[in-house]
Amino acid sequence: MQTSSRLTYIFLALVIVCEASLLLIDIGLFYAHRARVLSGGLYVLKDLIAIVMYAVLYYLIRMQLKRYALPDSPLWLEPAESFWKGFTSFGLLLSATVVLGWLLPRSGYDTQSPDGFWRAMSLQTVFKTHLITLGFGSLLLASLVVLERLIFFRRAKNTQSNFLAMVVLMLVASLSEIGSLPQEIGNPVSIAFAALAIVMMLVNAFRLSWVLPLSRSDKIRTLFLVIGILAELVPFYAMDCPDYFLAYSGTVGFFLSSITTFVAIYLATTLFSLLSYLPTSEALERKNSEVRNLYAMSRFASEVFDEEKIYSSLVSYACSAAGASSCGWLDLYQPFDEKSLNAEQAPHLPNLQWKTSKGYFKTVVRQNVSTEHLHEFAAKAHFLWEEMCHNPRQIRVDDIETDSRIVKDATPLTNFLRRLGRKRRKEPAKIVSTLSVPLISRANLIGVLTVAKDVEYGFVKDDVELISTFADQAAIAIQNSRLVREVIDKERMQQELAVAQKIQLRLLPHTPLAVPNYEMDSLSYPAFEVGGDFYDYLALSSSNSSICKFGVMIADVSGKGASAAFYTAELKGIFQSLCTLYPDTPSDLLIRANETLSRSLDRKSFVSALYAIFDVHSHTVRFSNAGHCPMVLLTAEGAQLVKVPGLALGLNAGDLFQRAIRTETLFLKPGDAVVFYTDGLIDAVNSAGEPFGFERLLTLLSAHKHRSASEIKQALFEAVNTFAGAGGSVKDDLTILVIKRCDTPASH
Amino acid sequence: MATFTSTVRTVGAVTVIDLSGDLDAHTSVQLERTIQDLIQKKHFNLIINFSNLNYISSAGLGVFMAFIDDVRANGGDIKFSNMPEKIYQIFDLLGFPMLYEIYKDEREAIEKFKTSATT
Repeated sequence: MQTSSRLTYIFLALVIVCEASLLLIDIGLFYAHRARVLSGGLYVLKDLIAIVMYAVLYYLIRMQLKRYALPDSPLWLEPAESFWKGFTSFGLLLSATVVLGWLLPRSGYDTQSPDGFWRAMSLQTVFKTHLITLGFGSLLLASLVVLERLIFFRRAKNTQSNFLAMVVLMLVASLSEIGSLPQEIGNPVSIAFAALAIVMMLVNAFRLSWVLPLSRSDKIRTLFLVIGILAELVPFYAMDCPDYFLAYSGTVGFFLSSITTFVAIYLATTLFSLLSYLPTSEALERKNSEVRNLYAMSRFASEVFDEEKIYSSLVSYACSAAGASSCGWLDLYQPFDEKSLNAEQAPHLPNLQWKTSKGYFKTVVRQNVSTEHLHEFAAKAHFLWEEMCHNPRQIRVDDIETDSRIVKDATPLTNFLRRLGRKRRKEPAKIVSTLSVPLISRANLIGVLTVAKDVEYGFVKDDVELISTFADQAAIAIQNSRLVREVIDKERMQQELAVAQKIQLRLLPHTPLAVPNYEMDSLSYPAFEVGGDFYDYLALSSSNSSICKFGVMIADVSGKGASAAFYTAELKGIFQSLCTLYPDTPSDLLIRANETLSRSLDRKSFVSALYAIFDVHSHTVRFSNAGHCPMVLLTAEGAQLVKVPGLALGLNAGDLFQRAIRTETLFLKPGDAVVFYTDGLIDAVNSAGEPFGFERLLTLLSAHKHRSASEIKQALFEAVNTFAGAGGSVKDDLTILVIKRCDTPASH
Repeated sequence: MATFTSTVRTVGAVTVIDLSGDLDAHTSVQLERTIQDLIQKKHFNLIINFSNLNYISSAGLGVFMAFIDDVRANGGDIKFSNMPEKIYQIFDLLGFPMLYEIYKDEREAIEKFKTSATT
């Protein structure tokens, strides 16, 4: 900063020194002219000094402009501003010149002198020349900098080289004039280069990319300024200002003149370009805003998961796309089904409702429109919603007063009268033409976006396309947000199911009872996360700290999943509280359990249960069956089903259950076993669709009759799994329970 | 897996529902809807024909439990007919024969409705 400002001062001093010496030389020359003593060498010196001086001046002006506005500041691209500055400073200089010409009438050059020399009329001419050249020269150099910036806006590959070529050609043409006297200007070399320079000027003059992005008002302003500057050029030439340049210095004067030409050409092309772009600029601005909105909407669609927010921004984007004085609203669609809503309930819901034959629409967002207007519109155009749920597509109403779908007797005369009637109404109609587009996700109608305008035929093809695009984007966003919500809900459900599963597993006994001379083992697998199978052991009485009587319960709740799982918990409570009250007769317990369960089970559910009481001293089993799979008695002779009549729990609350139930007693010899199971075992199917069935069960158990309780259980479980294997399945919960009276110790 | 279907026929004052395929927890919803419709239309004399039914789960059985009280309260009944052996076993196991009338043949069931109507 320090060095650069010092450099500026040095350069400034250099300019002043050069200008002073030029002035002195010119004064000297003026008197030499009078004395008719002429030396051509002085003109070369003058040109050299002028070249140095204007080169430095150009550098200073460039630096100054750069400091005034950094390259990335918008001022460079604020052409209206630069043109305004150019216009005012040019105007000031011009008026100064006019005033000077009026104050000093004898300050021109006599170019028509007999000896061909340009003769200054007085010493004032020299001062005027210097003032004009310095003033306009600085301004022209500044305009060259500004034009360079404008030309470089959105530069293409050749922009820079074209511009440089033009400047170089101008310089070469000017330099070839070194040492020329004012009247000799225009040697063939410089004319040739100047001609080339003009070609390059034309090329550069069509670099006008900055015009298009200007706003409409800026374009108009710039247009007037350009006309103004072009108009200012007329007095500039009329007062022969370029002649003063040439008199000042052949080289610099020629260069400044060529800049003037370039400015004139450039301004001319700018003028035409502005004129041609002006009519389309409004459309262009609208297109720009459409692109911006579309971009904003698409970003929105991928980021926002809040449905309410999507609805409201969709409506506002659509309204802004439709233009001023438009209004819009979004109706969500909810088809009737027995789960959420039916046709009778729908009209009683809050919010605006449009009922159709297949579902109802609810207005969730509205913009610029009152509920009264909406009701008024809906009363007329009910067909719109009806049509949407049968065949979702874009529906356009060009004029609500005359549309044939709304008004049945549409003739040109009645239409005209109706339109006239609308014009006469005090309150202007808000909804005259409408456009409705459906929001569709995965082939399902989500809702309908309607945009309305207060003029007839308010929607053209472009609007329709744009608004449909908005609607499609929003549909995707809504779908995304719903999917995300579904995933979250599902995860939560799964977590809750996992908890339920843990709790349910805790309901089942962890370890079998330790009973002398008896061994028992069990397993239970739910078909889903939670199941409806239940079993339990309970010590009923004991002597000398060893159990002498115990109960075993196995049960299966109808249905699957969460409801079944809740009933198993209830079952455990009932069983635990009743078993000590009825320690001898299983049927008594089941009768009481049926009474309790009938009150709490829903009508569709029932429970099959089998309850057995084992007496360790007498080696007897007393058992009752409430509709459960018959248990298997496994003796030395083989396996057999033990069927006992009974009704499942919860089917009948009255005495039918009591009449049906029986209690049987079996005697267990050493080595005899009983096997309980649920229908998951019998119903397991193989790949051919055949069920496991009782036959296989009995055959398998017979083969394993000499094994321990754990081994029998394991063998049965493995057999079912192998049977279901690949292609088959165990459709239901599976529970197996084996209780065996041990062989006599001697047999081991 | 065989898909489940239920078709409704009217024989005089009696409505017969033919079942085929697998009646499990998923398909039972379908049968539930069918019977509910019939009850809403005041058809209370129902015969369920099981001749083509392949499998019935406990949820399937629950469907009949859900409606029997309603139907009987309106002077009608749900009777079963043409049960294959393996389906009957399941009904028998749970004690359904004590609660429902089960007939070998559909005609018997229709006759039974007729006689109960006249008396």
